[in-house]
Amino acid sequence: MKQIKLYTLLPTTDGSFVAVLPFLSDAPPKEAKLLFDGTPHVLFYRADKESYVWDYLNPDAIEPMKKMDKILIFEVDISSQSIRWEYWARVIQTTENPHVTLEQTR
Amino acid sequence: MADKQYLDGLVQDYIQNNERGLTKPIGRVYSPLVYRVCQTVSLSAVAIGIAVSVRAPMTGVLCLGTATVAALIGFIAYQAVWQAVEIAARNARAFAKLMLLTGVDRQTRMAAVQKYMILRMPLTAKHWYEKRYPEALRAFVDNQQTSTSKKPTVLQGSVFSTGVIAADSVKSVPESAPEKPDMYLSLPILNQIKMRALAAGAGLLKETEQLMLGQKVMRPVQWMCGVLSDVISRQVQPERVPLSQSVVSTYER
Repeated sequence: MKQIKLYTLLPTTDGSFVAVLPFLSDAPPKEAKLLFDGTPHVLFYRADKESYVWDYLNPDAIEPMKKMDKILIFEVDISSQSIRWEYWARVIQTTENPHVTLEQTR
Repeated sequence: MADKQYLDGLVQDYIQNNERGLTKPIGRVYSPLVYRVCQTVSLSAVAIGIAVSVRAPMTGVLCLGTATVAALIGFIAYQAVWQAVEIAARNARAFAKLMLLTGVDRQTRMAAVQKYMILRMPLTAKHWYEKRYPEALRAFVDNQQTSTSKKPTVLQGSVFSTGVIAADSVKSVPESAPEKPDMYLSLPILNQIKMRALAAGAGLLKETEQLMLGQKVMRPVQWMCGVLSDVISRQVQPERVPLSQSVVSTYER
């Protein structure tokens, strides 16, 4: 599992967030979902066998995240300054996420 | 993980230092004042004591006693001043480090740290600091590995001194640019995201524009810097970007 170190959460009018991630993969996302257990470490399943951790969630983002059931995600290719993927991901509230071994990405 | 611990340490360091009472007037305002008053009283009492001791020994002794007490109080005040200076210096160092992490260019870092120092340090002790710390100040701003050998992550594009990302400052990348490009959202990308989010039914908050401009969006590293930018924005930038101003117009300004 890889760690996404840099990402951006932009608050929306309905109390949700739009997440901006670095471009992760050429493969299209498939049934993307987030597992959130109220801690600052969100497990992000982008597609089959493709999972990441959003680490270091802003404390201010934790409470809103607890109420969310979906989140709009943009994957941005910084080098070409373009949006590569745009998709909704389900936010699944869990009691405790599994511990993972991280491999750092951006 | 190492980076996380490093950043954690920085933030904790900053918060702890800040909570130690840097902003309390006792250290910043009154101590220098007390020190100056005591210094004056002490020296005057010594002079008067010596002058009158020939004719009135008891008055002379009284004056010298007063001088001693004033000197003691002044010494304590002096220590308090230095403590406040040291705390301010530590905070400036934390500022400089965190600004480095966000890729603020050297000039902006220097200006922000200087402004921060001037505003946070004991009011009458600026010259002391300037006398004692000019090298240290430069080191704060320049040194990328002052107390640790860990290489900080550098983000492009952040701002502390003005509240608005100046186009030229965004482009400047510090000397310690990482091998891999870091994530940085340019204005066109932000506008695209804004429009597409709206089309997808997720309208961004109006204030998100300002959040983006101020880089106080909820990006992990920048959240930590947000702690600092909040302080700086209160301290060194009297004018904030009005919420109603559009991203484009603010940038162009």
